[in-house]
Amino acid sequence: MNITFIFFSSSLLFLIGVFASLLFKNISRIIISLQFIFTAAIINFLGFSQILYGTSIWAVTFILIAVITIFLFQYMIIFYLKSNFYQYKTDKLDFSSSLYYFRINDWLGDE
Amino acid sequence: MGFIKNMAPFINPFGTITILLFAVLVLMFFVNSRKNGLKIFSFIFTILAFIGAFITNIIGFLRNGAFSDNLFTSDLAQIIEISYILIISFIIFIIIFVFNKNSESFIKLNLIFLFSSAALIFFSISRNFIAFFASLVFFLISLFALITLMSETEVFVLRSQGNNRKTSEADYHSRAYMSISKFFLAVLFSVLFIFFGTSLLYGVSDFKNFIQLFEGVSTFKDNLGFVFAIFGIAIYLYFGFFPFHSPYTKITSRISPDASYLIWLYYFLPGVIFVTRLSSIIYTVNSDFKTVLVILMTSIIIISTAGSSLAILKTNNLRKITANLVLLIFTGNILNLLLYIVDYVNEDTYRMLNYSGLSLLIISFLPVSMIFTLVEKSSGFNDIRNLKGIFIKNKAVLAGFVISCISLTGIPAFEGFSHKNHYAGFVWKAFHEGLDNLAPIPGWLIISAAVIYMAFFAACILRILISGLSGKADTNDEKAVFSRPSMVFIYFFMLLIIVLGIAYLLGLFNINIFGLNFSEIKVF
Repeated sequence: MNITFIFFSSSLLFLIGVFASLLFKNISRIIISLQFIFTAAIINFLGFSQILYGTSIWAVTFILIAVITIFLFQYMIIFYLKSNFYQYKTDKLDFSSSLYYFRINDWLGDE
Repeated sequence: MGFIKNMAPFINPFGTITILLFAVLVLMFFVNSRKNGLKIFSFIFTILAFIGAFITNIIGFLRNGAFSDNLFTSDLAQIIEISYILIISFIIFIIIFVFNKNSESFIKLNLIFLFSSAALIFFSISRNFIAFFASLVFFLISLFALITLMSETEVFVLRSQGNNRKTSEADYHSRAYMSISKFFLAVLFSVLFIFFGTSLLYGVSDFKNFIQLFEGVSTFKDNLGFVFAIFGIAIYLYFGFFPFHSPYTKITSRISPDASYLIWLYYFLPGVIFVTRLSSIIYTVNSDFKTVLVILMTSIIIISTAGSSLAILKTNNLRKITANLVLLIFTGNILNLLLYIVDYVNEDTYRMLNYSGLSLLIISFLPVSMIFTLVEKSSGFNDIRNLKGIFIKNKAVLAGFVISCISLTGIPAFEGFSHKNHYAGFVWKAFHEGLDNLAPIPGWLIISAAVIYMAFFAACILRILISGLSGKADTNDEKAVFSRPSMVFIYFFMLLIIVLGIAYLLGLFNINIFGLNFSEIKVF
């Protein structure tokens, strides 16, 4: 396994994650897509750390802290969604549009 | 005395954070209490904590100077940033108190808010990427908790919806919680871009902190283009500039009005700090990529300015107007960066321009947004054309609205003039003395970006002023009453706008007040 393979595989994961996050309306799918970006970054850190610099404590520490903080953030969003899901009986966990969907009425309208 | 002497070396940025975290620790003992006495105690205690943190921040720097270790660093720039963070936190905390003092969750809000302030200060002084990333995510987590808690505590129903109260409440909550979730997923998306960019930076250069990046960037500049592109996209998405504004405008339109202040005044601060951190690094490599950077950043400024301005000019929704006005003010930060990288301004002036943008936000913008919020709360309408009815009954509110709008336009003798004066100066100089050392095409691109920014900004404020003064008067709106604390708040900021504006103007003519030249102070 060489550095080029690691870089291309992580870039591919990153692109899949980005396009999927922008495409889907379903919240679960968006969160899973964000995991792709997260995994791509972790592959980069571990790959570069092992191949270029030997085992780096700094990279491992960064990954650990990122895993804890990002997962905590995601957990809070999911917990908030689920708690309200039952309270207000929203029929499904879908947004009305994708994450950055552009609508003229949202931009210039009064509502 | 011996104790104080021994403590002196420990007064550094950590001292500021320790005071805030100590306040968090104390409040944890009362977090579930609903007694009014304890709420007032927690309010006073938090105010004292902010004042103590502010004093420690200044005194620590005066006594011990710059501070640096493996994870954190602090110099004059960080001290000013921390001072701004504490002042803004103080103002937001008072807004939270005014709107939530009767809430059962007030002490919880108080505690989480103190924690978020501490996380933001950590972010400001972080040197290592680990500290930088962790403090950013902790800040966003606490912001998320605050906004969800504040939106839970109040059900705000607009009269214009015309539904019965029960249906409206359920509908309001459902829409609010979807918009909150969408906004924070979008924020997480931009944070993951930063994480991915950092991983690439590590692979390309083995840099672990900003100082290494600054010192070694010229060596690795050919490989860092992709990394900076990722960081640039992350910042653009974080700010939510046009056309990626949808999650931001939706959340500010749907959450409770007081929670919107957390987004407008608080959420953007890490973005501003991050751009300022990257500025000196971009400046180092800009000689090779100047034309590309100028074209790219000019496009960003023009697109973002036009997008936000057209929304302000077209919509009548008060929340949308305020949200886009904030985006317009923060677009100024990108313009400042552009002026800095082409050597139109030096680093000190660049930082001062950023600070003057923040001052514009907390001194001139705040009264306008406060009036909008109070009108919305008291009358139940969310339309700029309904303002006239409020103004007929409340002349003081009318005066506050007009003075704040004039200040935002940048007319001399008002606080906002300090923000627009520099831009007008560059444009004036370019038309009369030429473009210094710049090639004609990039030079005129920059000048056109500055002209477009100022022209659109002035047009938007004029639109707000005219629509506010010439709308329809409704007898129901005239009955809307503003509370005494709200009026004191508006009077105070009216006074501040005029006093600071006059002090700045006198400073330009070298007339010093209290021995200080206010046009040279790098704070506003």
